[in-house]
Amino acid sequence: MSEPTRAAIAQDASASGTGHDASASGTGHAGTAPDSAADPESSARMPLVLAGLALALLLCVAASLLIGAESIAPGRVVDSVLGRGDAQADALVLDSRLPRTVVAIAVGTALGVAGSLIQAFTRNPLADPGILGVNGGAALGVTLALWAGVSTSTSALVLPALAGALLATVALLLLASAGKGPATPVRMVLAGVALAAVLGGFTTAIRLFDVTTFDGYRSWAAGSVAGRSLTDLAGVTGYLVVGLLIALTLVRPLNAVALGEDTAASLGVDTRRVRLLTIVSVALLAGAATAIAGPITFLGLMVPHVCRLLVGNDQRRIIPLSALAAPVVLLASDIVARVALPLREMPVGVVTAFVGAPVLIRLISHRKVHTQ
Amino acid sequence: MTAWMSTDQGDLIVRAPGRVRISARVPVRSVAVCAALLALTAAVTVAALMLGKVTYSPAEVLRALTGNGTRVSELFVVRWRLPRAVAAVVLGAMLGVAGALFQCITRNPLGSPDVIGFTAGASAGGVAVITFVGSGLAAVTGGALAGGLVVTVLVVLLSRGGGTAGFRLVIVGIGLNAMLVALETYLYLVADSDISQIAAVWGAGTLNAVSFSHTGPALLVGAVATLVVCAGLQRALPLFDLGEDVAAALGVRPARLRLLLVLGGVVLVAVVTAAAGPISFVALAAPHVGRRLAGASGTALAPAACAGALILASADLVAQHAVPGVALPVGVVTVAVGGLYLLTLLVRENRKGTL
Repeated sequence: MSEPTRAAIAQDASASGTGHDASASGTGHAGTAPDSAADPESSARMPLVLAGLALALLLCVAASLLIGAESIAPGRVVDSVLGRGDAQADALVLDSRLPRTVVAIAVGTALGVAGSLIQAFTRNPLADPGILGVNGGAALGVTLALWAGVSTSTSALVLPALAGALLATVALLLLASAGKGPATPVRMVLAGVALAAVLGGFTTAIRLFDVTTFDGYRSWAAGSVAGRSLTDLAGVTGYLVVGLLIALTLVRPLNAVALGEDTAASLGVDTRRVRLLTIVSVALLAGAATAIAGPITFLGLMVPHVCRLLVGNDQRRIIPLSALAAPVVLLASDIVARVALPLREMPVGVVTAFVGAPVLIRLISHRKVHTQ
Repeated sequence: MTAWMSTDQGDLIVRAPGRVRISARVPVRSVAVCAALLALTAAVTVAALMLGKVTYSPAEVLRALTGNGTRVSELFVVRWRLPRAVAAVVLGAMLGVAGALFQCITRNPLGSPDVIGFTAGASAGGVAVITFVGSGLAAVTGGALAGGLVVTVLVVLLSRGGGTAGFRLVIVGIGLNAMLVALETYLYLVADSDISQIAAVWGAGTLNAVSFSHTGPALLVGAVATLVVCAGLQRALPLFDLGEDVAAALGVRPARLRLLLVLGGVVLVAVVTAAAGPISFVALAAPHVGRRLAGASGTALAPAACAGALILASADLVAQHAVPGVALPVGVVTVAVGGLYLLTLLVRENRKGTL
C-alpha cells in the first residue's frame, strides 16, 4: 500500500472513530487521490465556491425568466413575478418560463447528484446515468408505457421510467462485475454502452411500429424542459425528494468506499447496504428526471468533475455542490437552446451532449483514467 | 513426391505434379467453415424468398428463379423479395470485411466502424442530406461518406498519443457517437414530420426500400470491391498482423498497406450505409464469429465476409417476420442482438482478465 493511501485511511478511521462528533468542516478526507484530498486550500475555498455557485444560479434563473423567443421588457417580467403583470406577460413568464425554470432546476439537481453518486460508488470518473444506460432504461420504460396506451402525463409515466432505470442500473452493475477483478472504468463504460444500445434498439423498434408512440416519443425523448408544467413536476417531486434524502445519508459511507470496498468494510461501512441504497437513489433520481424531461446525457458526467476540480475529493462537498452546480449548467444550456437558432428551439439534451461529450473525450485523452 | 501434404496447423499444401513449380496452401478448416456458413446463408435466403404475404414452397421458388414459375410467383419472388435477399447477403459480407479491416488497422478487437464512430458519422451525414437536400442515392452516399470520414479523422486525432490499440479510441468514439446522436435528434426535430419519419427509418438502417434499379449499382460495386479486397489482401494481412516492423522486414510496405486498408474499409461501410442506412454491430460481430469458427489466429477476411452475410440475412429475416404485419428496420434487430453480443464479449474478456 502506498504511503499517502495509508495516511488517508488512518485519517478516515480517526474521523469515523469520533463518529458524529467529527466536525463537518472536513477533518477526515478520503478520495481517489488522497494527496489532494487533505488539501487545506480546497476546504478554505468551499464557502467561496458555494457563494459563487449560488450567485450563478440566481443569475441563471433571472436570465431564464428574461430570455426567450418572444422578447419582453425586463420591467414587465418583474411585474409579472410580483403579481401585478399584464395578461400577455403573465402567460409568457408565469405559464411558460417560470415552470420551465423550476423544472430545469429540479432535473439538474437530480442528474447532478445521480452522476456524483454513481461516480463515487463505482469509483469511475467516466460514469454518468446517460452513458451507462440508466436513462436508456427509463426511456424504454416510458416507451413501453406509451405503447401500452398510458397517457403522456408525467405522473403516469414516472413509474415505468423508475422501473426501467432500476432494472438498467442493476443489470449494469451485474454485467460490469461479472468476471475477474474489479470493474474497471473502461469495462463499465463499455458494458453501459452495450446495454444502452440494446435498450435503444428495443425503444426504436417499438416506436417505429406504432405511429402514436412515435409522435409521443418525438417530443418527449429529445431531452427537453420546454412546455413542462408545474403539474408535471408535482408528479415526480416525491420520488426526487426521497432520492435526494437517500443520497444525503450516503455521503459519508461513499467517502470510505472511495478507498476500496474491502477497506470500507474494514472501516465499518456496510457495503451491501451502501450498494443497495446507491442503486435505489440513482434509479429514483435518474428515472424521475428522465420521466419529466427525457434522457439528458452528460450532465451527470461533467458536473461532478467540475466540482472535484473546485473543492477536492471529499464527497461531503462534491455531492451538495453537484446539486447546486448541475442546475446552473442545465439552465445555462437551456437558455442557449432557446436562443441558438432563430424561430426554433433546440432541445436542451442536444446542448448538454455537445458540451459534455468533449469533457468525456478530454478526460480520456489526458490519462486521468486508468485504461487497463 | 506427394501432391498433398498436411501441415501441423491442419492446412493442406497442394503441389502441382511433375516439375511444375506451383503450390498452394489450403486452410482446410477455414474453407470448410466458409462453405458451411455459405450453405446456411443460402438456406436463410431461400427462406426469405419463400416467406411473406404469400408463402411459396422451395420448389416454387426455384421455378420462379429459373423463369418457369407463374407470373404472380415471379412478381413476388424475383421482383420483390430477391433484391432484398441479395442485398442482405452482399451488404452483410461487405460489413463483415469492413469490420475485419477496421479491427486490423486499429489492432483493437472493438475497433469496428460502429464503435469508433464511423457509422454514426455516416448516419448523421446521411440524415443531414435527407433533411436538407433529398433522399437520392448519390446525395446520401456523398453525405454518408463525408460524415464518416470527418468523424473517423476526428477520432484518430483525438485518440492520438494513446495509439489506436488502446481503449482511448473506443471511449473517444463513444463521446463522438453521443454528440452525433444529439445532432440527429436535432435534425429529426427540425424536419417536417414526413421527412423526419423517412430520415428516422433510414437512420435506423433498413432494407425495406431496396430494389435492383435503385440499389443495384451499389450492390454490384460492393460485391466486386469485397472480392477484390479479399483476394488482394489475403496474403499481406497475416504479415501486417505481426506488427508493422515485422511486416516491413518481410517485404510488405506498411504505410501503403495501411492506406489501402483504410480506403477499403471506409468505402465498404459508406456504400452499405448509403444503400441501407447505418446497420450497427454486424461489422463488430462478424469478424469475431468468423475468426473463432475458422480457428484463425489473425485477421481472416473470407470467414468474416461469410459470417457477415449470414448474420445480416438472418437479422433481416427476423426483422421482416418477427412482428406480424410490420417490417422493422433491420438495423434495429442488429443493434439489439449486436449489443447483446458486445455484452457477452465483454463478460468473456472479463473472465479471461484481458480487459
